[in-house]
Amino acid sequence: MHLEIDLEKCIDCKNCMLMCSFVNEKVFNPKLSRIKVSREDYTKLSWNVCQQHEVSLCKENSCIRACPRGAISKKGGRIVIDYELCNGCGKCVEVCPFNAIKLHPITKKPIVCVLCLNCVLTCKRGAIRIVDERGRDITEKVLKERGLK
Amino acid sequence: MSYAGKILKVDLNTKTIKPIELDPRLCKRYLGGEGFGIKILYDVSEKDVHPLSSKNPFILMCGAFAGLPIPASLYGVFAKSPQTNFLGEAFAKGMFAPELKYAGYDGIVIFGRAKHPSYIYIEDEEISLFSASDLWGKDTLTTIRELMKRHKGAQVLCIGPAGENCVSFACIENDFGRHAGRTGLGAVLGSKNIKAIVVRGSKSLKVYDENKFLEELEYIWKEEFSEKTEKYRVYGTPGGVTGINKARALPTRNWHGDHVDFVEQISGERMKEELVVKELACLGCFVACRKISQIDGNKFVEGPEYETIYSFGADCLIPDLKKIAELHLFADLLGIDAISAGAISAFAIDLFEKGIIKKEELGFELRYGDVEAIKKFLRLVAYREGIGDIFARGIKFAAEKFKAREIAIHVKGLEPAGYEARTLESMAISYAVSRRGACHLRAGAYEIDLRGGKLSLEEKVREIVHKENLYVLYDSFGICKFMRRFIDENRLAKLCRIILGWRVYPNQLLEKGAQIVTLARKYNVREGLTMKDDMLPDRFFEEEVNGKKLDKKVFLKALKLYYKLRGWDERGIPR
Repeated sequence: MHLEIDLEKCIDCKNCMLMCSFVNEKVFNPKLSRIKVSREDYTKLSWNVCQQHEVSLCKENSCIRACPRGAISKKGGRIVIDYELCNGCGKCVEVCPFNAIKLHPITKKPIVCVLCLNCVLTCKRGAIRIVDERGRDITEKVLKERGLK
Repeated sequence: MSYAGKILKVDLNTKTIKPIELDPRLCKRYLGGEGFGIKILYDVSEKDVHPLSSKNPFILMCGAFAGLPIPASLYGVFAKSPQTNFLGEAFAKGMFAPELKYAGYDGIVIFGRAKHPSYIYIEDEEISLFSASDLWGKDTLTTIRELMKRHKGAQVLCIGPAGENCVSFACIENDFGRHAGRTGLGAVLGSKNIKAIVVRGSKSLKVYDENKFLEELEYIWKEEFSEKTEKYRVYGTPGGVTGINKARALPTRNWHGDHVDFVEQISGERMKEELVVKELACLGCFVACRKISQIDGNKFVEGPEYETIYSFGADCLIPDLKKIAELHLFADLLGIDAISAGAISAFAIDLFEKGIIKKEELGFELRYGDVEAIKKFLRLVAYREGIGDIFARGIKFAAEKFKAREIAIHVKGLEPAGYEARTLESMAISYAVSRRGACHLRAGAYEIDLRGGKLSLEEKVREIVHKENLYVLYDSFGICKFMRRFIDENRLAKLCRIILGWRVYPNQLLEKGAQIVTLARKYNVREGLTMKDDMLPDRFFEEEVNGKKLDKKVFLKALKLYYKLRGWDERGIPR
């Protein structure tokens, strides 16, 4: 599964980004968010977040293959980074087709969505969906399963 | 906590840029945003400085809570106003203030004047002064787009041609359509040869009590979907048009009338149906009052807002939202305050109709409802061509020049917002005493009148004082005033505890607000303000609308009462 943002519903408030950084880093800082929404022009928004599911778009596992130290793997459908092995070379950032990996401005190691789903809970506009491999909306189901709703 | 911790001092004369540690005593007494701005302006500016001289400092301060996931994304700009010659201040929300705080700064104080057109680029500790000669002369949107392309992921605020030409009501724009509009501070930036400020930050903000903050977020977010914010959520500010018109409080025809017959053609409901294609929010807010209208094809504008529907729609008699939107965009691109732009157009139309200015001087006929003529007029003003130069110096100057004092509607040189003073008595008093000229946002006093119920004059004045103190707190912490129905002084005191770790009572906060109001008054008095400057336009006492006019004796009584409640002497001088 992975996350998708409905840009019709998204109002670019960036609460998802602020809460992502808060949950994962204990601070408010959009640059530390694993999910990203940006406004490019009047009505033009765009978003980036890791599309970490087995099939379809991200099946090439670009980041995993690009890492020279084998620090990135996939466990239970999620991207996992071994920060002991990682030397912060940034290759994964370069190759990600979704621009969804970035380097932490202080540790200089990559950060990526861990599907904690806090952004989904944060977005009271309902713009963030959880989607399965076939693109089906499974938001309600997953939130219930995880006891988040 | 929540403060970024530094203020940036930029001296354009010597090209030196220095970050200064934020003094915790300044925080405790002046809170942030407006409090900081007024205090710093009072301390660093010389008496009697010319607003457009290099000695007039330009100050930008972020709200203390800006950058957090709550509706508090405000920055304020402060300088001596070229429009009023008194305190100039204007506020805008969006992404700029948060980004500046993420870069590590609560504000910027700019001294001097750059030798050549420049823009300031801030990326954390790295600060540069870049040439803006290729951007000089460009409209606001082109400038923002170009700078966003040059500096990916950055936030931009800029001025348009009117700011470059030091038009006394030039504004500052950020986020494609948010404006620090009033009192002409775009001209101050222009006089410093600064076209834009660009910022990109990678730092973090923290709050004092994280667990309590999360609880508070749930409350604030819930209220952002409640009926308390519904009007703004559904229609944005134009949601007020129909009601205000019905209350006969929507000024029209240069304030000769108090309502329009074509209200359904300019209402928020109509706008939502026909024009709005996208809703956007400022950082941290779910209300999303920012309505993006499509004028046609690739032409968009953020707005029109209630105030431009008043200034262009009602005041210039344009019964067509799309045309109002077009004028709103036109003013935005030139970088002029859209309230003043509409109001001064209506004033010029009135002069034209009375034969005081002529076709030969203008080069065209200027009449109510003529969108193309108004555009031509505003262009003359923004580029200070011909007769436009007189209006570019502001309505007060133009009124003296044309010997038409009785036609011009303003207080201290600032045209009022769209709330009829003869219908709304509290609003009238608030226009008079507002530190930046006729302004609706120093106290939101129209609500006192519109709420109904019989209040004595003293009760009204007391409530104005209370609201003024509270509104200073909003503009200092950065809280959006559209949240006023669920964030009051009690909630603010709680937020202070949770976010800043302060133990402060609501009354103490209001007292700090009052001190800031008095400090602003001291600044104004130092710049030569007397009781005369608190007077309303004569027409409010002489010309009736809907059978109503103001009683000068009652008004003077209210003024004296206001001074007394503020602890000032009977001429309005702080002791």
